[in-house]
Amino acid sequence: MVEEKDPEGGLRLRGVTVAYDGVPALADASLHLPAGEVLAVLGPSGSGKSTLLRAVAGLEPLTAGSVAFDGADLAGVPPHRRGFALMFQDGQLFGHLSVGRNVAYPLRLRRTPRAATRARVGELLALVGLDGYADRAPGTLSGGERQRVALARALACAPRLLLLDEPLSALDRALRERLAGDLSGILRTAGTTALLVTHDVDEAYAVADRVALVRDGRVVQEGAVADVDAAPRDAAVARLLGYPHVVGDRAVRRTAFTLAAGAGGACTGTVLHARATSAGRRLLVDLDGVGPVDVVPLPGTPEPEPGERVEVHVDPTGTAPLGGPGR
Amino acid sequence: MARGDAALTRTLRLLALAALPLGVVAVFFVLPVGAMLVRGLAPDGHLDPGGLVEVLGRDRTGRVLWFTLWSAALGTLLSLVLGLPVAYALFRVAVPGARVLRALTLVPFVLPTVVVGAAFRALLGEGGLLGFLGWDGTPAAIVAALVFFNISVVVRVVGGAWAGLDPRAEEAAAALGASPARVLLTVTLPALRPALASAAAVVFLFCSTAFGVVLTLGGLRYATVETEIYLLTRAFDLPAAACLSLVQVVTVVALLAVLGRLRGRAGDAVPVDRVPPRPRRARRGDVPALVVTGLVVLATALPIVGLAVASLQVRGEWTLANYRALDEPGITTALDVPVLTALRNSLQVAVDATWMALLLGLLVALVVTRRARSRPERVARGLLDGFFMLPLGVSAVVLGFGLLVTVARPPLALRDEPLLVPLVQALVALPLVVRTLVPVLAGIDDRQRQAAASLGASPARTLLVVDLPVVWRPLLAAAGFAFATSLGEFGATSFLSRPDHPTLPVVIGRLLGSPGTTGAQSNPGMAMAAAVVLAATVTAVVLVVERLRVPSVGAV
Repeated sequence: MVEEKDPEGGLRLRGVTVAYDGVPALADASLHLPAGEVLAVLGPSGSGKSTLLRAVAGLEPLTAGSVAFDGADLAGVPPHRRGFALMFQDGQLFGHLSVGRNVAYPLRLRRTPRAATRARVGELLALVGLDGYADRAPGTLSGGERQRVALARALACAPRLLLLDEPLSALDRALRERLAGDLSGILRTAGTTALLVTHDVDEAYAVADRVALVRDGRVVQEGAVADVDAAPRDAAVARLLGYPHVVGDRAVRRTAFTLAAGAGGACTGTVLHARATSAGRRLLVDLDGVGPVDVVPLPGTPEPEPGERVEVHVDPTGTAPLGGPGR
Repeated sequence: MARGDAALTRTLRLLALAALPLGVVAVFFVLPVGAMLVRGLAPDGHLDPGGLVEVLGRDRTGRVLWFTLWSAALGTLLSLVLGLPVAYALFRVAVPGARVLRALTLVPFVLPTVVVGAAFRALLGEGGLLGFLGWDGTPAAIVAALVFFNISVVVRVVGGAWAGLDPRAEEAAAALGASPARVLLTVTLPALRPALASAAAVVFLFCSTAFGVVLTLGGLRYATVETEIYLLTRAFDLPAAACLSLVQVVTVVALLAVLGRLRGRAGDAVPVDRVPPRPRRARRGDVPALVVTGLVVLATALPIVGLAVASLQVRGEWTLANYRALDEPGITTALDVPVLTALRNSLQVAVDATWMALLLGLLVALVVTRRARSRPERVARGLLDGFFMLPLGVSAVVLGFGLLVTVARPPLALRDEPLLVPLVQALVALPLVVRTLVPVLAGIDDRQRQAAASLGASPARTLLVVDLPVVWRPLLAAAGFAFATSLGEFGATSFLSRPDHPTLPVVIGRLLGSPGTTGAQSNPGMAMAAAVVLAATVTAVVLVVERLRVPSVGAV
């Protein structure tokens, strides 16, 4: 028998509008997040993505539209009755409780027996890689550890929906990449439905199955990660997705430009200067009609001098056509 | 070698800055209070523990201690219970007119204690608005007056902390399934605990050392340690007065130590550039807090309205006679000068007291907040910090009488020195000034000073460029508070002011103390009228201060 997904399963937003003092922070947002999937809402700061998350959590009253979960409208359901969990950028651990009691907090709210609570806390701390941290005070933890505790606390009661507000943005790069992998693994193992809000495309891609792009309070594009990445809707969306340049009708990644051997490059430009980067030597070339871009020099040939005209080749695997479908 | 020199220079600079306030506090505070203690405890030059035991063993002493304890504890409890919802409503919820209401809740705290006493008499006495309660002359009146005073402290201290609390911790708890009541109990109140403890300690301190209200409302029957010291001093039972003072000093020092421990260093600093979260729209769950707030505001206004009503009546008739009498010399035998002259004296004294309190307070705050480079230095700064808090809790009566028997006599003979009264009032206001400035100065990131210094700014210039722009608002606010404190100071001033040069609270106290109706006005009516004038003056000052919107004002 083929298992069919309930079309109304998971989270559904219909025309959600949230206004502060009459100014809409989120306008007419519609989204669907099927149960068991992870959706990343990606947008620059001030785009309304956090407002979207808070609206789903029940922390912001809707001006218009509806939020439903598994087909049931959540209007009038206060945050604590929604069965969700919310994890903030900086964890928001309760400073007066130990790590163990932070994780146990939602369990105690549900009057879980003490022994079961202790077992579950141990299990959760092991899941996030913090075995033996139960008695530590939150103040003694590093940023990454705090986020792990916050994640364990959020997962403690197996929420119907996990809401993550930039869960990794406050961490340094190396830690962020490692935790993003862990987070993705943990969510998939637990089969958690999760809504992630972030401005960092790498964080979104590492954790999410689907991505929705928000700009100026509107959802401008939504789809599976691969689909959206392969066809950003416009130049602004492309920039958010990590394509800083546009050549013709294609979005181009920072790493896609190489110096063409002789003539025959896709475009031309003037060398500004050469410099060393962590990824190797790069030429800064003022590309005609595009602007300054980093160009990978040709190995084994003399480096062009500043002011020299050069031909630049664009690696097609590092580009995507603009004009993808909105959703 | 050079390092040793640098450390020495630092120590010397610290001492130089601290010298003036230390000297002033030593001569005008430690000396008189110490003299009072010595006088009482060792009347013949050698310590007499028997006298101490005898005083403590008296029935009345026991009653006074017990009354002080329970009235202060009850007053503290009620202030907290009523102040919390108000703090929440006025600092966390977007209430229309919250700014004005916040300012109004501050008014009772700076009202002169005699005025509050008079206001409660007017309200609860025969023919008063709440006369039917039958509270006049009962402990209920005293506790009510203490609560009236101290709700504003709770609202200020707790509200300030509440306004700066990151609401996301509460939101995280709510999303995890905690009902609003659970969030309050398990997240919000624990996060507010330092502020709550600090407020409770300060309110208890104020309640247990209250003088003016207890004296006006309790009379001889219900005395606290503070008023008992006054009564004993007036009766020249100095050993007993000294003994009670000692009890008071020990208690206060212990409380201050606890307070310092609770506050810690971290709790002291208000990050200068932090933007508090916006108050959010009122919800259905906020209704109880809003109702309590409305009732508290009304209840706060009642005594003041009662005061105004009483000032406009003579023998049950509506009249302005009490106000007209304020400017007439010789209208009553209770006074040597017209009331308006006393107001002028008060304003003059307040101006002097203000600049003195600011000068001393600024020096103390600078000394206390500079980052200590070594452990002994840190300890020294901590001790100084505590030392300058002492006037907060030591009986103003003891101070006043002590001054009378020390610096007012040869060899100092400063009794007729016009700056004596303002100086003493400045000392009374000093803790408040220091507490207003310290959080802000401590909140300045030291790296800003280092950045300025590395760009070539001299220490003086660093002060000008980094500290002054941040501190001028709190400084103005502190000035307002010093001014208001001075205008209302009664305990010490009642001993020191000369009969021909009284301040307004002293005049009010004298009018209240000699009831009688002569001609068109009545002495109590005139007292009420004078109190209205004083209250209006102080309120105007406070409203100006509130406009400056200093976050930590009143956060002792």
